[in-house]
Amino acid sequence: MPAFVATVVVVFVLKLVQWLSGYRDNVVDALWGGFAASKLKELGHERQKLYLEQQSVSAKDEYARWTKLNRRVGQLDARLSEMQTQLAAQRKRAHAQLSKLHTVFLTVPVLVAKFWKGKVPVVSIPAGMFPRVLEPVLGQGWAAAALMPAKYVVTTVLGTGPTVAGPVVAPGAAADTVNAATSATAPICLAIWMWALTRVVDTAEDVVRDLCNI
Amino acid sequence: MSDLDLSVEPNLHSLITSSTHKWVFVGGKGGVGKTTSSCSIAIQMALAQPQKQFLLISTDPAHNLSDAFGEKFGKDARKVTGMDNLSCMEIDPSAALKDMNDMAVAQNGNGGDGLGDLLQGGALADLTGSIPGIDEALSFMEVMKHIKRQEEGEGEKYDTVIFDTAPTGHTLRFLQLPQTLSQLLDKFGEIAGRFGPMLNSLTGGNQNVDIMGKMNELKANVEKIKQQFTNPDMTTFVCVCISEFLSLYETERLIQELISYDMDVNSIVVNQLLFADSDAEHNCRRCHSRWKMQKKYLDQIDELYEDFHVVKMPLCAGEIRGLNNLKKFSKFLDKEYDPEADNKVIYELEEQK
Repeated sequence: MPAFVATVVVVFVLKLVQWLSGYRDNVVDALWGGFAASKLKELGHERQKLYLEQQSVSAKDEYARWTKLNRRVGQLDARLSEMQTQLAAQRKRAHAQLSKLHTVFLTVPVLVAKFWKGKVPVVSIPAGMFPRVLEPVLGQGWAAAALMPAKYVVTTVLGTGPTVAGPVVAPGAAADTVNAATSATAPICLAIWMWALTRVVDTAEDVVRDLCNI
Repeated sequence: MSDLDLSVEPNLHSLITSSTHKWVFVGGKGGVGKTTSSCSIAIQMALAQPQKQFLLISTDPAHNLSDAFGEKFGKDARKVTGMDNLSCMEIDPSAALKDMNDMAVAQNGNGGDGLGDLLQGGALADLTGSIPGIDEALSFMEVMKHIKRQEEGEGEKYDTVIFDTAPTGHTLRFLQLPQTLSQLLDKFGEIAGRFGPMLNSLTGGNQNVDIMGKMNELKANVEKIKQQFTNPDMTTFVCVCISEFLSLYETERLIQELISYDMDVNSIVVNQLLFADSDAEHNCRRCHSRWKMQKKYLDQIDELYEDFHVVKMPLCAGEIRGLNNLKKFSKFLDKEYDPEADNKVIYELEEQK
Protein backbone atom coordinates (compact mmCIF):
# COMPACT_ATOMS: atom_id res chain seq x y z
CA MET A 1 0.00 0.00 0.00
CA PRO A 2 2.71 2.53 0.84
CA ALA A 3 4.40 1.70 -2.47
CA PHE A 4 1.09 2.17 -4.29
CA VAL A 5 0.51 5.58 -2.66
CA ALA A 6 4.13 6.60 -3.23
CA THR A 7 3.97 5.76 -6.92
CA VAL A 8 0.70 7.64 -7.40
CA VAL A 9 2.19 10.68 -5.64
CA VAL A 10 5.39 10.52 -7.72
CA VAL A 11 3.51 10.21 -11.01
CA PHE A 12 1.28 13.17 -10.16
CA VAL A 13 4.23 15.26 -9.00
CA LEU A 14 6.00 14.54 -12.30
CA LYS A 15 2.86 15.48 -14.18
CA LEU A 16 2.52 18.68 -12.16
CA VAL A 17 6.12 19.61 -12.96
CA GLN A 18 5.43 18.95 -16.62
CA TRP A 19 2.33 21.19 -16.49
CA LEU A 20 4.25 23.90 -14.70
CA SER A 21 6.90 23.77 -17.42
CA GLY A 22 4.28 25.21 -19.75
CA TYR A 23 4.15 28.24 -17.50
CA ARG A 24 7.81 28.11 -16.75
CA ASP A 25 8.55 31.80 -17.13
CA ASN A 26 5.82 32.75 -14.68
CA VAL A 27 7.01 30.14 -12.19
CA VAL A 28 10.62 31.20 -12.56
CA ASP A 29 9.70 34.87 -12.22
CA ALA A 30 7.67 34.14 -9.11
CA LEU A 31 10.47 32.13 -7.47
CA TRP A 32 13.62 33.87 -8.68
CA GLY A 33 12.97 37.14 -10.44
CA GLY A 34 10.31 38.61 -8.18
CA PHE A 35 11.55 42.19 -8.15
CA ALA A 36 12.60 42.44 -11.81
CA ALA A 37 9.38 40.90 -13.11
CA SER A 38 7.13 43.10 -11.00
CA LYS A 39 9.18 46.20 -11.88
CA LEU A 40 8.85 45.33 -15.56
CA LYS A 41 5.10 44.98 -15.17
CA GLU A 42 4.93 48.30 -13.34
CA LEU A 43 6.96 50.04 -16.06
CA GLY A 44 4.75 48.47 -18.72
CA HIS A 45 1.63 49.85 -17.04
CA GLU A 46 3.21 53.26 -16.67
CA ARG A 47 4.22 53.31 -20.31
CA GLN A 48 0.74 52.32 -21.39
CA LYS A 49 -0.75 55.10 -19.26
CA LEU A 50 1.64 57.69 -20.72
CA TYR A 51 0.98 56.48 -24.25
CA LEU A 52 -2.77 56.80 -23.79
CA GLU A 53 -2.32 60.28 -22.32
CA GLN A 54 -0.14 61.24 -25.28
CA GLN A 55 -2.74 59.94 -27.72
CA SER A 56 -5.36 62.15 -26.09
CA VAL A 57 -3.22 65.28 -26.62
CA SER A 58 -3.11 67.09 -29.96
CA ALA A 59 0.52 67.47 -31.04
CA LYS A 60 -0.25 70.56 -33.09
CA ASP A 61 -2.19 72.39 -30.39
CA GLU A 62 -0.15 71.39 -27.35
CA TYR A 63 3.20 70.61 -28.89
CA ALA A 64 5.23 71.19 -25.73
CA ARG A 65 3.07 68.92 -23.57
CA TRP A 66 2.98 66.24 -26.31
CA THR A 67 6.75 66.38 -26.72
CA LYS A 68 7.38 66.14 -22.96
CA LEU A 69 5.15 63.05 -22.88
CA ASN A 70 6.99 61.70 -25.91
CA ARG A 71 10.31 62.14 -24.11
CA ARG A 72 9.02 60.30 -21.04
CA VAL A 73 7.72 57.49 -23.25
CA GLY A 74 11.14 57.30 -24.91
CA GLN A 75 12.89 57.14 -21.53
CA LEU A 76 10.51 54.43 -20.34
CA ASP A 77 11.11 52.45 -23.52
CA ALA A 78 14.83 52.55 -22.83
CA ARG A 79 14.32 51.41 -19.22
CA LEU A 80 11.91 48.68 -20.33
CA SER A 81 14.42 47.39 -22.82
CA GLU A 82 17.09 47.33 -20.12
CA MET A 83 14.81 45.55 -17.63
CA GLN A 84 13.81 43.00 -20.26
CA THR A 85 17.44 42.20 -20.94
CA GLN A 86 18.08 41.84 -17.20
CA LEU A 87 15.03 39.63 -16.76
CA ALA A 88 15.99 37.44 -19.71
CA ALA A 89 19.45 36.92 -18.21
CA GLN A 90 17.91 36.18 -14.80
CA ARG A 91 15.47 33.70 -16.32
CA LYS A 92 18.28 31.94 -18.15
CA ARG A 93 20.18 31.50 -14.88
CA ALA A 94 17.03 30.37 -13.09
CA HIS A 95 16.16 27.85 -15.81
CA ALA A 96 19.61 26.35 -15.50
CA GLN A 97 19.17 26.03 -11.72
CA LEU A 98 15.64 24.67 -12.09
CA SER A 99 16.83 22.06 -14.56
CA LYS A 100 19.55 20.97 -12.15
CA LEU A 101 17.04 20.72 -9.28
CA HIS A 102 14.65 18.77 -11.52
CA THR A 103 17.40 16.34 -12.44
CA VAL A 104 18.69 15.92 -8.89
CA PHE A 105 15.39 15.63 -7.04
CA LEU A 106 13.09 14.02 -9.58
CA THR A 107 14.67 12.49 -12.63
CA VAL A 108 17.57 10.70 -10.94
CA PRO A 109 15.56 9.30 -7.97
CA VAL A 110 12.81 8.04 -10.27
CA LEU A 111 15.35 6.39 -12.57
CA VAL A 112 17.17 4.85 -9.64
CA ALA A 113 13.87 3.64 -8.18
CA LYS A 114 12.88 2.11 -11.50
CA PHE A 115 16.17 0.27 -11.90
CA TRP A 116 16.56 -0.75 -8.25
CA LYS A 117 13.00 -1.52 -7.21
CA GLY A 118 11.39 -1.85 -10.60
CA LYS A 119 10.44 -5.43 -10.09
CA VAL A 120 8.82 -4.95 -6.67
CA PRO A 121 5.11 -5.83 -6.93
CA VAL A 122 2.89 -2.86 -6.13
CA VAL A 123 -0.62 -4.08 -6.85
CA SER A 124 -2.23 -7.34 -7.90
CA ILE A 125 -4.95 -7.95 -10.45
CA PRO A 126 -7.01 -11.10 -10.96
CA ALA A 127 -5.17 -13.60 -13.10
CA GLY A 128 -6.54 -13.80 -16.60
CA MET A 129 -7.59 -10.12 -16.75
CA PHE A 130 -4.91 -9.66 -19.35
CA PRO A 131 -3.70 -12.35 -21.78
CA ARG A 132 -1.48 -14.84 -19.94
CA VAL A 133 1.41 -14.07 -22.21
CA LEU A 134 1.44 -10.51 -20.83
CA GLU A 135 1.42 -11.47 -17.16
CA PRO A 136 5.17 -12.06 -17.02
CA VAL A 137 5.67 -8.60 -18.40
CA LEU A 138 3.26 -7.12 -15.86
CA GLY A 139 5.02 -8.92 -13.07
CA GLN A 140 8.63 -8.40 -14.03
CA GLY A 141 8.81 -5.48 -16.33
CA TRP A 142 9.86 -4.98 -19.90
CA ALA A 143 12.81 -7.29 -19.47
CA ALA A 144 10.38 -10.19 -19.52
CA ALA A 145 9.17 -9.13 -22.95
CA ALA A 146 12.74 -8.99 -24.16
CA LEU A 147 13.42 -12.46 -22.82
CA MET A 148 10.32 -14.05 -24.36
CA PRO A 149 11.93 -15.08 -27.68
CA ALA A 150 14.77 -16.72 -25.79
CA LYS A 151 12.27 -18.55 -23.58
CA TYR A 152 10.36 -19.71 -26.65
CA VAL A 153 13.52 -21.16 -28.10
CA VAL A 154 14.45 -22.81 -24.81
CA THR A 155 11.04 -24.32 -24.09
CA THR A 156 9.57 -25.06 -27.49
CA VAL A 157 12.58 -25.74 -29.64
CA LEU A 158 14.86 -27.30 -27.06
CA GLY A 159 12.00 -28.65 -24.97
CA THR A 160 13.29 -27.59 -21.55
CA GLY A 161 12.18 -25.08 -18.86
CA PRO A 162 8.69 -23.59 -18.21
CA THR A 163 6.22 -22.80 -21.00
CA VAL A 164 6.00 -19.48 -22.80
CA ALA A 165 2.86 -18.69 -20.88
CA GLY A 166 4.56 -19.54 -17.67
CA PRO A 167 6.49 -17.20 -15.57
CA VAL A 168 9.75 -15.94 -17.04
CA VAL A 169 12.01 -15.47 -14.12
CA ALA A 170 14.78 -12.97 -14.54
CA PRO A 171 18.04 -13.89 -12.89
CA GLY A 172 18.04 -12.74 -9.27
CA ALA A 173 14.25 -12.26 -9.16
CA ALA A 174 12.59 -12.62 -5.76
CA ALA A 175 10.93 -15.96 -4.94
CA ASP A 176 7.51 -14.42 -4.33
CA THR A 177 7.52 -13.22 -7.94
CA VAL A 178 7.59 -16.80 -9.21
CA ASN A 179 4.95 -17.98 -6.72
CA ALA A 180 2.63 -15.10 -7.46
CA ALA A 181 2.75 -15.87 -11.21
CA THR A 182 1.06 -19.20 -10.68
CA SER A 183 -1.63 -17.98 -8.26
CA ALA A 184 -5.13 -16.50 -8.85
CA THR A 185 -3.74 -12.98 -8.97
CA ALA A 186 -1.15 -11.45 -11.22
CA PRO A 187 1.22 -8.94 -9.64
CA ILE A 188 2.11 -5.68 -11.32
CA CYS A 189 5.61 -4.45 -10.72
CA LEU A 190 6.58 -0.88 -9.90
CA ALA A 191 8.02 -0.05 -13.33
CA ILE A 192 4.95 -1.23 -15.24
CA TRP A 193 2.61 0.37 -12.73
CA MET A 194 4.31 3.78 -13.04
CA TRP A 195 4.37 3.51 -16.81
CA ALA A 196 0.68 2.60 -16.95
CA LEU A 197 -0.36 5.32 -14.50
CA THR A 198 1.59 7.95 -16.47
CA ARG A 199 -0.04 6.81 -19.70
CA VAL A 200 -3.51 6.95 -18.14
CA VAL A 201 -2.94 10.48 -16.81
CA ASP A 202 -1.55 11.62 -20.20
CA THR A 203 -4.54 10.15 -22.04
CA ALA A 204 -6.99 11.72 -19.61
CA GLU A 205 -5.28 15.07 -20.09
CA ASP A 206 -5.54 14.74 -23.90
CA VAL A 207 -9.25 13.89 -23.67
CA VAL A 208 -9.96 16.86 -21.42
CA ARG A 209 -7.95 19.18 -23.75
CA ASP A 210 -9.88 17.93 -26.79
CA LEU A 211 -13.26 18.23 -25.10
CA CYS A 212 -12.55 21.70 -23.73
CA ASN A 213 -10.68 22.89 -26.83
CA ILE A 214 -7.69 24.01 -24.79
CA MET B 1 20.61 90.12 -12.96
CA SER B 2 19.45 88.58 -9.72
CA ASP B 3 20.90 85.35 -8.38
CA LEU B 4 17.63 83.60 -9.10
CA ASP B 5 17.47 84.74 -12.73
CA LEU B 6 18.12 81.56 -14.63
CA SER B 7 16.95 82.75 -18.03
CA VAL B 8 19.20 81.94 -20.93
CA GLU B 9 20.16 84.67 -23.37
CA PRO B 10 18.21 84.55 -26.63
CA ASN B 11 21.32 85.01 -28.76
CA LEU B 12 24.55 83.24 -29.70
CA HIS B 13 26.89 85.81 -28.16
CA SER B 14 28.59 83.26 -25.93
CA LEU B 15 29.30 80.96 -28.89
CA ILE B 16 30.38 83.81 -31.17
CA THR B 17 32.91 85.05 -28.62
CA SER B 18 33.95 81.57 -27.49
CA SER B 19 37.69 80.92 -27.48
CA THR B 20 37.43 77.17 -26.90
CA HIS B 21 35.08 75.92 -29.58
CA LYS B 22 36.83 74.17 -32.47
CA TRP B 23 33.86 72.54 -34.18
CA VAL B 24 30.49 74.14 -34.71
CA PHE B 25 27.80 72.21 -36.55
CA VAL B 26 24.78 73.96 -37.98
CA GLY B 27 21.96 71.70 -39.03
CA GLY B 28 18.26 71.08 -39.31
CA LYS B 29 15.48 70.20 -41.68
CA GLY B 30 15.79 71.14 -45.34
CA GLY B 31 14.86 74.67 -46.35
CA VAL B 32 14.89 76.30 -42.88
CA GLY B 33 17.93 78.51 -43.45
CA LYS B 34 20.88 76.35 -42.44
CA THR B 35 23.27 77.86 -44.98
CA THR B 36 22.26 81.41 -44.11
CA SER B 37 22.63 80.63 -40.40
CA SER B 38 25.99 78.88 -40.79
CA CYS B 39 27.32 81.74 -42.92
CA SER B 40 26.00 84.22 -40.37
CA ILE B 41 27.63 82.38 -37.45
CA ALA B 42 30.93 82.14 -39.34
CA ILE B 43 30.88 85.85 -40.20
CA GLN B 44 30.07 86.94 -36.65
CA MET B 45 32.75 84.70 -35.18
CA ALA B 46 35.29 86.04 -37.67
CA LEU B 47 34.31 89.64 -36.90
CA ALA B 48 34.32 89.10 -33.13
CA GLN B 49 37.71 87.38 -33.10
CA PRO B 50 39.82 88.93 -35.89
CA GLN B 51 43.02 87.34 -34.65
CA LYS B 52 41.72 83.83 -35.33
CA GLN B 53 41.15 81.92 -38.54
CA PHE B 54 37.79 80.37 -39.32
CA LEU B 55 36.79 77.81 -41.91
CA LEU B 56 33.26 77.23 -43.12
CA ILE B 57 32.77 73.80 -44.72
CA SER B 58 29.67 72.66 -46.50
CA THR B 59 28.99 68.94 -46.13
CA ASP B 60 25.72 69.15 -47.99
CA PRO B 61 26.01 67.43 -51.37
CA ALA B 62 23.74 70.20 -52.70
CA HIS B 63 26.19 72.97 -51.81
CA ASN B 64 24.95 76.52 -51.33
CA LEU B 65 27.91 78.38 -49.89
CA SER B 66 28.94 79.76 -53.25
CA ASP B 67 25.38 80.99 -53.83
CA ALA B 68 25.17 82.47 -50.32
CA PHE B 69 28.36 84.52 -50.68
CA GLY B 70 27.96 85.15 -54.37
CA GLU B 71 31.38 83.76 -55.24
CA LYS B 72 32.70 80.38 -56.25
CA PHE B 73 34.26 78.04 -53.67
CA GLY B 74 35.72 74.64 -54.34
CA LYS B 75 37.27 71.68 -52.59
CA ASP B 76 40.25 73.76 -51.54
CA ALA B 77 39.68 76.35 -48.83
CA ARG B 78 39.61 79.91 -50.12
CA LYS B 79 39.22 83.18 -48.27
CA VAL B 80 35.92 85.00 -48.59
CA THR B 81 36.34 88.24 -50.51
CA GLY B 82 36.25 91.05 -47.98
CA MET B 83 37.15 88.87 -44.97
CA ASP B 84 40.75 88.21 -43.93
CA ASN B 85 40.06 85.44 -41.48
CA LEU B 86 37.18 83.50 -42.96
CA SER B 87 37.60 80.79 -45.60
CA CYS B 88 35.05 78.56 -47.26
CA MET B 89 35.20 75.09 -48.72
CA GLU B 90 32.68 72.93 -50.53
CA ILE B 91 33.53 69.25 -50.37
CA ASP B 92 32.93 67.68 -53.75
CA PRO B 93 32.69 63.89 -53.45
CA SER B 94 33.29 63.24 -57.15
CA ALA B 95 36.39 65.43 -57.24
CA ALA B 96 37.74 63.88 -54.06
CA LEU B 97 37.16 60.40 -55.44
CA LYS B 98 38.88 61.36 -58.69
CA ASP B 99 41.89 62.51 -56.67
CA MET B 100 41.92 59.15 -54.89
CA ASN B 101 41.63 57.38 -58.20
CA ASP B 102 44.57 59.36 -59.65
CA MET B 103 46.63 58.64 -56.55
CA ALA B 104 45.93 54.93 -56.91
CA VAL B 105 46.93 55.06 -60.58
CA ALA B 106 50.17 56.86 -59.73
CA GLN B 107 51.03 54.38 -56.99
CA ASN B 108 50.25 51.44 -59.18
CA GLY B 109 52.82 52.69 -61.69
CA ASN B 110 52.81 51.91 -65.40
CA GLY B 111 52.64 48.20 -64.90
CA GLY B 112 50.07 47.90 -67.65
CA ASP B 113 48.24 45.27 -65.66
CA GLY B 114 44.47 45.03 -65.66
CA LEU B 115 44.05 46.91 -62.41
CA GLY B 116 46.03 49.93 -63.61
CA ASP B 117 43.98 50.16 -66.82
CA LEU B 118 40.80 49.93 -64.83
CA LEU B 119 41.85 52.71 -62.44
CA GLN B 120 42.97 54.96 -65.26
CA GLY B 121 39.48 54.75 -66.60
CA GLY B 122 38.22 56.30 -63.33
CA ALA B 123 36.68 53.02 -62.25
CA LEU B 124 37.38 53.62 -58.55
CA ALA B 125 35.57 56.95 -58.61
CA ASP B 126 32.66 55.44 -60.56
CA LEU B 127 32.40 52.47 -58.23
CA THR B 128 32.50 54.37 -54.98
CA GLY B 129 30.89 57.60 -56.00
CA SER B 130 27.35 56.38 -55.71
CA ILE B 131 27.67 54.43 -52.46
CA PRO B 132 25.09 55.80 -49.98
CA GLY B 133 26.89 57.69 -47.25
CA ILE B 134 29.95 58.43 -49.36
CA ASP B 135 29.40 62.19 -48.92
CA GLU B 136 29.41 61.83 -45.16
CA ALA B 137 32.48 59.62 -45.30
CA LEU B 138 34.39 62.13 -47.42
CA SER B 139 33.40 65.02 -45.17
CA PHE B 140 34.63 63.02 -42.23
CA MET B 141 37.91 62.35 -43.99
CA GLU B 142 38.26 66.08 -44.50
CA VAL B 143 37.80 66.60 -40.75
CA MET B 144 40.50 64.04 -40.01
CA LYS B 145 42.84 65.70 -42.52
CA HIS B 146 42.40 69.02 -40.73
CA ILE B 147 43.15 67.56 -37.34
CA LYS B 148 46.24 65.87 -38.72
CA ARG B 149 47.45 69.03 -40.46
CA GLN B 150 46.97 71.08 -37.33
CA GLU B 151 48.96 68.62 -35.28
CA GLU B 152 51.73 68.46 -37.83
CA GLY B 153 51.69 72.21 -38.38
CA GLU B 154 51.13 71.82 -42.10
CA GLY B 155 49.15 74.15 -44.31
CA GLU B 156 46.66 76.72 -43.17
CA LYS B 157 45.66 76.45 -39.54
CA TYR B 158 42.08 77.13 -38.59
CA ASP B 159 41.01 77.81 -35.01
CA THR B 160 37.37 76.97 -35.57
CA VAL B 161 35.60 74.98 -38.26
CA ILE B 162 31.93 75.63 -38.89
CA PHE B 163 29.97 72.97 -40.73
CA ASP B 164 27.02 73.79 -42.92
CA THR B 165 25.50 70.34 -42.79
CA ALA B 166 23.12 68.42 -44.96
CA PRO B 167 19.51 67.90 -43.91
CA THR B 168 19.02 65.99 -40.67
CA GLY B 169 19.35 62.35 -41.74
CA HIS B 170 22.65 62.82 -43.52
CA THR B 171 24.08 64.78 -40.64
CA LEU B 172 23.13 62.16 -38.09
CA ARG B 173 24.83 59.56 -40.24
CA PHE B 174 27.92 61.74 -40.42
CA LEU B 175 27.99 62.15 -36.64
CA GLN B 176 27.62 58.41 -36.15
CA LEU B 177 30.74 57.76 -38.20
CA PRO B 178 33.25 58.05 -35.34
CA GLN B 179 31.36 55.46 -33.31
CA THR B 180 30.74 53.20 -36.34
CA LEU B 181 34.33 53.43 -37.54
CA SER B 182 35.64 52.82 -34.05
CA GLN B 183 33.63 49.60 -33.74
CA LEU B 184 34.58 48.53 -37.26
CA LEU B 185 38.25 49.11 -36.59
CA ASP B 186 38.04 47.14 -33.32
CA LYS B 187 36.58 44.18 -35.20
CA PHE B 188 39.08 44.54 -38.01
CA GLY B 189 41.87 44.71 -35.45
CA GLU B 190 40.78 41.36 -34.01
CA ILE B 191 40.75 39.76 -37.46
CA ALA B 192 44.00 41.39 -38.55
CA GLY B 193 45.66 40.22 -35.37
CA ARG B 194 45.08 36.66 -36.52
CA PHE B 195 45.58 37.05 -40.27
CA GLY B 196 47.90 40.08 -40.42
CA PRO B 197 50.65 38.73 -42.68
CA MET B 198 48.10 37.22 -45.03
CA LEU B 199 46.25 40.53 -45.30
CA ASN B 200 49.49 42.36 -46.06
CA SER B 201 50.24 39.96 -48.87
CA LEU B 202 46.79 40.60 -50.36
CA THR B 203 47.77 44.16 -51.28
CA GLY B 204 50.13 42.60 -53.78
CA GLY B 205 52.13 44.45 -56.46
CA ASN B 206 55.10 46.49 -55.49
CA GLN B 207 53.45 48.17 -52.55
CA ASN B 208 54.57 47.58 -49.05
CA VAL B 209 51.49 48.65 -47.21
CA ASP B 210 51.40 48.00 -43.53
CA ILE B 211 47.71 47.49 -43.07
CA MET B 212 47.85 47.10 -39.30
CA GLY B 213 49.85 50.31 -38.97
CA LYS B 214 47.41 52.28 -41.10
CA MET B 215 44.43 50.84 -39.23
CA ASN B 216 45.94 51.77 -35.88
CA GLU B 217 46.66 55.28 -37.11
CA LEU B 218 43.11 55.62 -38.41
CA LYS B 219 41.72 54.28 -35.14
CA ALA B 220 43.76 56.78 -33.12
CA ASN B 221 42.50 59.65 -35.27
CA VAL B 222 38.91 58.49 -35.00
CA GLU B 223 39.19 58.24 -31.21
CA LYS B 224 40.58 61.77 -31.11
CA ILE B 225 37.67 63.04 -33.13
CA LYS B 226 35.18 61.21 -30.93
CA GLN B 227 36.67 62.84 -27.86
CA GLN B 228 36.59 66.28 -29.42
CA PHE B 229 33.04 65.90 -30.72
CA THR B 230 31.75 64.91 -27.28
CA ASN B 231 33.59 67.72 -25.45
CA PRO B 232 31.04 70.52 -24.91
CA ASP B 233 33.80 73.13 -24.71
CA MET B 234 35.12 72.15 -28.13
CA THR B 235 32.06 71.12 -30.11
CA THR B 236 28.49 72.31 -30.25
CA PHE B 237 25.54 71.83 -32.52
CA VAL B 238 23.27 74.71 -33.48
CA CYS B 239 19.82 73.57 -34.57
CA VAL B 240 18.04 75.67 -37.15
CA CYS B 241 14.30 75.48 -37.61
CA ILE B 242 11.23 77.44 -38.51
CA SER B 243 8.18 77.92 -36.36
CA GLU B 244 6.10 75.15 -37.88
CA PHE B 245 5.06 71.76 -36.59
CA LEU B 246 7.07 69.51 -38.92
CA SER B 247 10.23 71.51 -38.44
CA LEU B 248 9.85 71.47 -34.66
CA TYR B 249 9.16 67.77 -34.67
CA GLU B 250 12.32 67.13 -36.64
CA THR B 251 14.29 69.49 -34.43
CA GLU B 252 13.19 67.55 -31.36
CA ARG B 253 14.20 64.30 -33.03
CA LEU B 254 17.56 65.78 -33.95
CA ILE B 255 18.18 67.07 -30.44
CA GLN B 256 17.35 63.70 -28.86
CA GLU B 257 19.69 61.91 -31.28
CA LEU B 258 22.47 64.39 -30.58
CA ILE B 259 22.02 63.95 -26.83
CA SER B 260 22.30 60.18 -27.35
CA TYR B 261 25.63 60.78 -29.13
CA ASP B 262 26.77 62.89 -26.11
CA MET B 263 27.05 65.90 -28.35
CA ASP B 264 26.47 69.34 -26.84
CA VAL B 265 23.39 71.09 -28.18
CA ASN B 266 22.12 74.21 -26.46
CA SER B 267 21.20 76.62 -29.24
CA ILE B 268 18.21 76.83 -31.54
CA VAL B 269 17.83 79.41 -34.30
CA VAL B 270 14.21 79.97 -35.32
CA ASN B 271 14.16 81.52 -38.77
CA GLN B 272 11.62 83.16 -41.00
CA LEU B 273 9.59 84.81 -38.23
CA LEU B 274 7.15 87.44 -39.38
CA PHE B 275 6.79 89.63 -36.25
CA ALA B 276 3.65 90.96 -37.91
CA ASP B 277 2.45 92.77 -34.77
CA SER B 278 5.40 95.16 -34.98
CA ASP B 279 5.45 95.61 -38.72
CA ALA B 280 3.76 98.92 -39.51
CA GLU B 281 4.76 98.84 -43.19
CA HIS B 282 3.30 95.48 -44.02
CA ASN B 283 0.06 94.44 -42.41
CA CYS B 284 -1.71 91.83 -44.46
CA ARG B 285 -4.20 89.32 -43.21
CA ARG B 286 -2.12 86.40 -44.43
CA CYS B 287 0.95 87.57 -42.53
CA HIS B 288 -1.07 88.10 -39.36
CA SER B 289 -2.56 84.66 -39.67
CA ARG B 290 0.83 83.05 -40.21
CA TRP B 291 2.35 85.09 -37.40
CA LYS B 292 -0.39 83.87 -35.07
CA MET B 293 0.51 80.30 -35.98
CA GLN B 294 4.23 81.03 -35.53
CA LYS B 295 3.63 82.62 -32.12
CA LYS B 296 1.74 79.53 -31.00
CA TYR B 297 4.75 77.36 -31.78
CA LEU B 298 7.20 79.93 -30.41
CA ASP B 299 5.47 79.71 -27.04
CA GLN B 300 5.80 75.93 -27.23
CA ILE B 301 9.50 76.25 -28.09
CA ASP B 302 10.08 78.57 -25.15
CA GLU B 303 8.37 76.11 -22.82
CA LEU B 304 10.11 73.04 -24.20
CA TYR B 305 13.62 74.43 -24.55
CA GLU B 306 13.79 76.82 -21.59
CA ASP B 307 17.48 76.04 -21.00
CA PHE B 308 18.47 76.58 -24.65
CA HIS B 309 19.58 79.76 -26.40
CA VAL B 310 16.55 80.29 -28.61
CA VAL B 311 17.40 82.90 -31.20
CA LYS B 312 14.47 84.40 -33.11
CA MET B 313 15.39 85.64 -36.57
CA PRO B 314 13.13 87.66 -38.83
CA LEU B 315 11.94 86.86 -42.32
CA CYS B 316 13.55 89.53 -44.50
CA ALA B 317 12.08 91.32 -47.43
CA GLY B 318 14.75 89.99 -49.76
CA GLU B 319 17.13 87.09 -50.11
CA ILE B 320 20.10 87.15 -47.79
CA ARG B 321 22.90 86.74 -50.29
CA GLY B 322 26.29 88.39 -50.51
CA LEU B 323 28.67 89.36 -47.72
CA ASN B 324 27.05 92.73 -46.96
CA ASN B 325 23.55 91.33 -46.54
CA LEU B 326 24.88 88.44 -44.47
CA LYS B 327 26.74 90.86 -42.19
CA LYS B 328 23.58 92.90 -41.61
CA PHE B 329 21.48 89.82 -40.98
CA SER B 330 24.03 88.02 -38.82
CA LYS B 331 24.15 90.86 -36.26
CA PHE B 332 20.90 89.51 -34.83
CA LEU B 333 22.64 86.33 -33.80
CA ASP B 334 24.95 88.29 -31.55
CA LYS B 335 22.36 90.74 -30.23
CA GLU B 336 18.80 89.52 -30.48
CA TYR B 337 16.44 91.06 -33.04
CA ASP B 338 14.16 93.75 -31.67
CA PRO B 339 11.02 93.87 -33.83
CA GLU B 340 10.41 97.51 -32.89
CA ALA B 341 13.92 98.93 -33.21
CA ASP B 342 15.38 96.72 -35.94
CA ASN B 343 12.36 96.50 -38.21
CA LYS B 344 13.87 98.77 -40.88
CA VAL B 345 16.86 96.44 -41.40
CA ILE B 346 14.80 93.70 -42.96
CA TYR B 347 13.83 96.07 -45.76
CA GLU B 348 17.34 97.40 -46.20
CA LEU B 349 18.92 94.26 -47.61
CA GLU B 350 20.42 95.17 -50.94
CA GLU B 351 19.42 93.24 -53.94
CA GLN B 352 22.30 90.99 -54.92
CA LYS B 353 23.27 91.54 -58.58
